[in-house]
Amino acid sequence: MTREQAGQIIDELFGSWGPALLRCALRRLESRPAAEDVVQEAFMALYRELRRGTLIQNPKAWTMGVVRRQCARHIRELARHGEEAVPIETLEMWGGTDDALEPARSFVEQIAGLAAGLSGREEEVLLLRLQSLKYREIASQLGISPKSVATHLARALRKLENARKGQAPGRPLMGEEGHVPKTLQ
Amino acid sequence: MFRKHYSDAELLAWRDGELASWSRGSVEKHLQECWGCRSRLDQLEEQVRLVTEAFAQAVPGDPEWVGQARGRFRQWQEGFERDVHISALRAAPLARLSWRHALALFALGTAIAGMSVQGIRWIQTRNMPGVPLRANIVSTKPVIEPSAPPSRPVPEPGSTSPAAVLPGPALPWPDEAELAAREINVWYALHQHNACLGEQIEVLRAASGQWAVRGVVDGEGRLAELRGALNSLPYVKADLRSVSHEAAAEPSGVREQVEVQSAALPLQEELLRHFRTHAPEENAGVAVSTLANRTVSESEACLVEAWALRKLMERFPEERMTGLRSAARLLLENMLRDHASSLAGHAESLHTAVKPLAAAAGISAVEEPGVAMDLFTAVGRMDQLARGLFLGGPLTEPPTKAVREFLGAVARLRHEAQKFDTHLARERP
Repeated sequence: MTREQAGQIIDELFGSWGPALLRCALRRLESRPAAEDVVQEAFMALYRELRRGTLIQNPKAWTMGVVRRQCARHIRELARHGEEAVPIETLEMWGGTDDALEPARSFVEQIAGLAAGLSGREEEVLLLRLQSLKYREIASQLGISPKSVATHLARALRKLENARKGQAPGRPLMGEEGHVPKTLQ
Repeated sequence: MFRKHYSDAELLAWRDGELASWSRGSVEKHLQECWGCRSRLDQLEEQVRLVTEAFAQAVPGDPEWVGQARGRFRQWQEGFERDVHISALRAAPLARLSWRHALALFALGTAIAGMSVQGIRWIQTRNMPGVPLRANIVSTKPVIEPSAPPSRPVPEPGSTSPAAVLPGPALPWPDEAELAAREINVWYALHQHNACLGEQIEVLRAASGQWAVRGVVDGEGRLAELRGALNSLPYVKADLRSVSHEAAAEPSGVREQVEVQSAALPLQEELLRHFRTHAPEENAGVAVSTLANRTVSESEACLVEAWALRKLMERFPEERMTGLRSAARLLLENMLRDHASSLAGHAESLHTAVKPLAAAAGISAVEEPGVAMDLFTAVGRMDQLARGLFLGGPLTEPPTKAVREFLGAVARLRHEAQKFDTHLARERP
């Protein structure tokens, strides 16, 4: 694949899929710089493979796989060096603590909290399904059966539903101290 | 036995069209019967809608991050393209083969080559002089197309349609409701041009959800009229031909007036005597001829209306009507009502027309046949007797008995047609 073609694919993916990947990495690593690095690395790896001529059926699922492995590696390395992940600074991670960002606070927290109670697998399945992938495609990418995809998806929806019903209207899903509410656990 | 309820996973898989075809039907059937599963499915759909909306909303800060990330990527890309030689990159998969892989490949090649002389010849022909085998392998490597990656259309924040939420896989084939709606549209187009009344036209299911209309029609004008009516439906293939003889001038929907030779009537004498007594100012011969003409044409009209009605009821029985879309159901009910009221009208005028016949044959009270004779049987029997009495067709009974039976069938038909018409009007106002 030519440089232009590969560059165009990556450009479009950054817009349509990058933010979702970034949030996925953030929830695993709890560190904005580390999550950004992981996502950047995933896109670079995709570019390398595209330039090499590798056939990639679904770039979104493929990059999701890379992000998952990179996150796992990052967490292992942290554990080896005896360091703990830095907790998310909810507003800092979206670019500042200005009062101007105040209206966005609850919404950002909601988004951050939306998938917080989900297991890694459930979150991956949900994100990929939201990208209109078929169960078969998700299953082949994650190495599970299509039936498990349906199970994970149903479980994710059930958890989110419980979280929604367990909250008073208008209150963000994430608790005041940044902890996940009981209903999400 | 009532089946257990379906799990969320099964309901979701059904909704996304991911269930195997053999289990899809049982889920649908269960959903029709089970209120609990239906309401759970509704809840799931609502949840899917909310989640999709929540995830689709742009988070403040995202566009900035995307811009920065693209910038960083482009810097890296420049360095990558400058430093790395792409040909080396392409050879990398082969170069990365370990000695185990090489050994396995060698063993496999030897085995294939050793299997037969043809195998060796095949390898020799593949490995043309001047073209190394490895080049063949590399050149046949599939390359990803430069098309854009599949992206999900972001739904409108205010959209509430569950269908617009998780777009399921595109259906390669229209579903049963769509097919039935298409079929009803075809029938309705024909109905509007009276092509359902006795013309040799059939509607058949064709490949890819299409419907084929086949038949022979009278005249080029009629052919053009029907083709024009069907052309507006994109899923119809009209395979109509015209009979190229005198019927070209016959306007559509007008039934033939059958000319009857009054001399051949079995009850001619009685009828002539009756008309001479009761209407001495009229020509009795003409009156008998008019009676015969009117009876036969009304009887034929009843027959074609009844057949059109029957055809529709057979194509769309009660259990199929429950699954129809409301628009299609409305069209179907319109057609049914049209035919039923038209049949009732023709039966009524036939009943009026044959009154002199009863008087002429000396029948004071007409006995209706038993309840076992339904509408369609009554029409069939009535038409058969009308042909026997007025068109010189075969009659199995003596004329007086045939007339008695004919009048009974007419009375029965009138009664049943009225009942049917009232039933349709009440049930589907």
